[in-house]
Amino acid sequence: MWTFLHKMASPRYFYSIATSLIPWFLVSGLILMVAGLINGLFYAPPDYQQGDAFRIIYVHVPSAYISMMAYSLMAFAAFVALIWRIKIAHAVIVGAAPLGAWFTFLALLTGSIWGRPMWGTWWEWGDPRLTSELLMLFLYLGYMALRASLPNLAQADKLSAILILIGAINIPIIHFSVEWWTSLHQGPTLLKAGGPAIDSLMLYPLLAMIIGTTLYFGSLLLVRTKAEVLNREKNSRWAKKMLSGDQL
Amino acid sequence: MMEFFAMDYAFYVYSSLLAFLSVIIICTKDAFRHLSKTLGHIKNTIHQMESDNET
Repeated sequence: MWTFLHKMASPRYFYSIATSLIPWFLVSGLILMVAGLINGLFYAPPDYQQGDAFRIIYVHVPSAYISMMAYSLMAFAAFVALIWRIKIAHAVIVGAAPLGAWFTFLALLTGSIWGRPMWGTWWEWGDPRLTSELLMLFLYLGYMALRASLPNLAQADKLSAILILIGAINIPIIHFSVEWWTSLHQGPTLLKAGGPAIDSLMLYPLLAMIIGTTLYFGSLLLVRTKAEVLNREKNSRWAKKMLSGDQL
Repeated sequence: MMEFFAMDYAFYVYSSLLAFLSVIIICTKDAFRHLSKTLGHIKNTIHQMESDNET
């Protein structure tokens, strides 16, 4: 395991592994997403309280999960980058940020669309889950704005990694907000004591969507990180050799 | 076709689906375009440096 992680810290090795993994992640992710969406939208039974509106779960939960997972990954990479000074970790953060921002926006948008028929409102400022998720969108945007404003790469890497680590305090707040405070948002469905509180006919398409979206996110993260690695390593011998030899 | 829209709350369900699919398309196009632009830019720089060295 440590040997593998040590190897992955080498930009050249990472680039070649990422190139071979991207198509597998992308294709398997898309297949699972299509299967999950078809089963969730057309074959899962309607909810006894929410009717067919519950089907928004098949796009809302994967989006919210990816938004939190991407930030957790960025926080872990920021920690690794600051402590062990591994350059690839900064490239991973740069690659994950725009994807995380898009999925956070999607989680907020689909949550708002779901809230209108169920809660009678598109948005509620006093709700802890909604506002903490919105704060996470601002953290993603703030990270990207901070990087863009700093011309020195080393300084941008260090300051933006510190910002990511400070913002990581928001992750447990988002997750436990529905338990700590009164919220319009429903409590946990999947990650709760005693197992998921959802029928298997509804659960399996949801799991397919979550795994599929994670694989899809993984493939795009590798594509974006590859671009960032190449940009940082453009003066290295391996990158020049690879590009002049058209080994893309 | 009618059955497709006969679902309760069809407007909300399909609006969410449309938003999800739009973000998937945007993210995919953006990521691959970003990689291809980076590759193109670096290749041009390398070619430029090589031709400068020759002259």
